[in-house]
Amino acid sequence: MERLIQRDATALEELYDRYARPVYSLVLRISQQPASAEEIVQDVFLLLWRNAARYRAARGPLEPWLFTMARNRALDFLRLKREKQRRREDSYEVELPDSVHAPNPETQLDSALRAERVQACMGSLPEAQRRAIELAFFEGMTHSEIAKALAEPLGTVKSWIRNGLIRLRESLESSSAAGTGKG
Amino acid sequence: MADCEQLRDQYEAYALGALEGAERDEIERHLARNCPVCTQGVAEARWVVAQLSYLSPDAAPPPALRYRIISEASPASSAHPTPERTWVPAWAWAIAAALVAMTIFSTYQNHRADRELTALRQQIQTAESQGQQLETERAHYVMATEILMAQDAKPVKMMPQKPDMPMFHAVCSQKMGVLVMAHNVPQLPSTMTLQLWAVSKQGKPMSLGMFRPDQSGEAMMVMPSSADMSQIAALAISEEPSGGSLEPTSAPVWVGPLS
Repeated sequence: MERLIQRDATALEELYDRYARPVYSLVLRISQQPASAEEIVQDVFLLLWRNAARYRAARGPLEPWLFTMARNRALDFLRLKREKQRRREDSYEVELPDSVHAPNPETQLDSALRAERVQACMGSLPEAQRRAIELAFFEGMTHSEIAKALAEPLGTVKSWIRNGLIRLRESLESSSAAGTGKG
Repeated sequence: MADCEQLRDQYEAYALGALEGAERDEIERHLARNCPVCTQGVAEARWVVAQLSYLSPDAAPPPALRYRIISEASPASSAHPTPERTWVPAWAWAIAAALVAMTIFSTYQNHRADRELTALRQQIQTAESQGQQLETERAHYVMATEILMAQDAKPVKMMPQKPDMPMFHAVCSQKMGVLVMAHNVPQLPSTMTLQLWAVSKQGKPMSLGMFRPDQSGEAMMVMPSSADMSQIAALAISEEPSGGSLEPTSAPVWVGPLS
């Protein structure tokens, strides 16, 4: 990040080569349009390039921060497409997500192991519970919208989402605590 | 106002964007007054939520996207193509030349050295040939960058007229020329080529040149400025016999109006 702040373009190339694929995968999953996904990924990396100085270590590790920024922009695109809200004006000051911190930074799995753990954990959930979390994450739906979409009580949906994410967090932390994680 | 302990169970839902109404407002009130407990809790919840990104099906971004990002971020930097291509770095020539000199001075009477010398000469010839190709491609990318960065550059989206075809992105600059590029372009028979046309406001097409997608589906063409862009209504790409045509022989596959 220091090299990025100093406008070293090779640092941006390295970050792109490392993170572009998972970021593009996420944005494409949300937007479902390759052309739009390209534009959003381009925005995300150029935002990072132009605002590198504003990114501080206090914001946490870069990958989840990038995921958060990419998801926010992809959901904005989705909402715009659905005409649910007035389009926000482009403003780099507004777009940067706030802090994203790992619950236990000292014992974090590397990204490949985390991916496995996330997929395993979500795969072990009942279908409806997993669907509720996916609707919230990939479609940007609120509790009441999910309850309506799944024809389930609001309280049930809230419990599903809360318990599902708590289970995910514990799964990621417990694997690290068991000594299989890498610092 | 609810205390932090009451809000703890809602951090994840807030980070997910699922929380709404009074519940969301309550957490935002705590965050607005920099409540350390809720600020840390929400930051950690964002981390957990971000991990859901790994549920996305794996998809590779097109190589041209990397080029566009790096070019826009730093036009002076060398935005080389992705590592899928095989490049012969310029320093390999110097090293090859140095190895040849060392071999000649120290072991020219050695039979094994003679064999190595022959092999190195062949490598130099190959490198020279690849170097010429490199130079041609480098010149294309330099021209493409100049078009992208031109002050009068205008983007044009060339929409496919056939199903399951990708979109072409074009950039037009009166001063620097025209750039068109796309990925995932289907392969063409060896007897066919893509031909780029500038269609005048009177509907007359003028050929800007021919090009073909490479084996990975990447297609790019740059054309120095030639036509008066103010008289051009649209860009079009048609499939023509190899060598091109004086006029389009079929309906264009891609069309992009210049607004």
